[in-house]
Amino acid sequence: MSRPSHAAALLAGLAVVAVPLIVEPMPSAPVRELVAGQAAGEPAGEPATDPGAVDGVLARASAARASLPREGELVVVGGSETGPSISRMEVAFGDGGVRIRREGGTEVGRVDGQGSLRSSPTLLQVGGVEQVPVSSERLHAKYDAALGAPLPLDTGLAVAVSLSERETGTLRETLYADQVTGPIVRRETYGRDGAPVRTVAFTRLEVAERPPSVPRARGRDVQAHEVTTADPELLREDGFVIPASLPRGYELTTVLEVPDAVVPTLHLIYVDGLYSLSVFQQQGRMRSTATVGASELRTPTGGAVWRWPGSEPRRIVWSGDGATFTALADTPTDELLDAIVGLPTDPPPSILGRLDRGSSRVARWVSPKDRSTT
Amino acid sequence: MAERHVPGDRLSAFLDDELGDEDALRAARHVADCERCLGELAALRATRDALRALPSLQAPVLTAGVQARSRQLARVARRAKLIVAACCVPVLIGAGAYVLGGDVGEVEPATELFLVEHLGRTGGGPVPTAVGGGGR
Repeated sequence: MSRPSHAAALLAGLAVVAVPLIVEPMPSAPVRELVAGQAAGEPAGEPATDPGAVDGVLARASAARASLPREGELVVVGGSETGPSISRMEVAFGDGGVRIRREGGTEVGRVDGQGSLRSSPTLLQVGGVEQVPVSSERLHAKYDAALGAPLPLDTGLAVAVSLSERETGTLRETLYADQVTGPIVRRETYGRDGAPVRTVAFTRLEVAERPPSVPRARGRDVQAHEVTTADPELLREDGFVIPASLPRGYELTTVLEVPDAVVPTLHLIYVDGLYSLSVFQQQGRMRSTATVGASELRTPTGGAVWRWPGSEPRRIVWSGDGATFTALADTPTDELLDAIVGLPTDPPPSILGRLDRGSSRVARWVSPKDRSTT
Repeated sequence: MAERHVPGDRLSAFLDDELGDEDALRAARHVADCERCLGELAALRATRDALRALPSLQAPVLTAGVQARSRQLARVARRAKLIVAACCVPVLIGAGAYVLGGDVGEVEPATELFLVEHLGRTGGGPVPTAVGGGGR
């Protein structure tokens, strides 16, 4: 793929994206070009709003990603309250699998239903990892989609797909599909205030000789897990919280169980047609040291959650009703905080809350009724 | 040559019958022949007898008013102890509740397992996966 000239989009892109995201230190030259080269959600030409045309572009992208072996360099630029974060990684996909090798050694991927993560000194393997189907119906139920004219990017000409929330008219995502071969080569994500919050883009993408392979152990310790599908009704009887939907149009599609986990653990997957939200629920309160290095945030209802600045996918953890929750999602943080309102969240730590918790604990100990149930 | 005079402290011990047999015999022989020591022994005996003749002192008897005041002070002290105890109980209970209400959670999110699960199951759509950034 040729490297196009994107000087025209450079100045406009700088004003919208580079200034808020890139402060210091300045990224290397390819990253500067990446951030500056985007069209900032304003695809040139008259937009086409035919849902069928948008579905065609996305279906072609999905098919190309699954079947056409490719490898390239992916750069993720994210913004957070502590400043921008830039990650560069080698990505290979095709034949239904994907492998992402991050600078610094971590490697994560899924091939033939086996997910794996290699980070020194351990190789983590998860069996039975089947992908959640993508639904265009959900996408069109929540978002208005528009096709733009082709734009020159690092990987060649790409067709822009703009996705705006129907309820508010706010642009949330712009996807760029390679015009020749089909895969999405760039995505720009926007917050509710219109500010760019993340850019994921290939700076290089080439046809690969063979599909990605599973990371090998190479003498490291191997932790193997098997995650299985589960019956939500039975799990609800066991005390798990499993809402059928979450605020902002997220619907439950998958309920999974980790049978060999240290504590009973669930994986719930919610989707809104564009974003996927994983909610992991572990029975028992979260250890206080689990939030070291994280920033405390508030949900719209006042619940306390913790997020690691710049983490991608966005990862937040919190305690609620005696359980520990971890949410992983590619959604903007504001959307994520809105969605998890549908799950229990404890109020922020306070002296009164601590006294109340202690008193309740003593009351449970001395109450014969409660003692018999615990 | 005359034997040395008996020192005053030994004379006092001799008078109080606190010397050993041998020392007491030697002191008695010397005092019998020594006018100076005999005189000193007589002075010591006179002083002792005079002291023994003094009337014994008795503690002054408290008046009824002083005794009433003392009982009142004791009641105030007891009341103060009760008040302090009454204040300490809720403070101790509060401290206990604060300690017991501490975060005793023991669950550690299985970050890496969750990441593999999330990416493996949701990264299969057309949109490239966002991985990276800060955090663990």
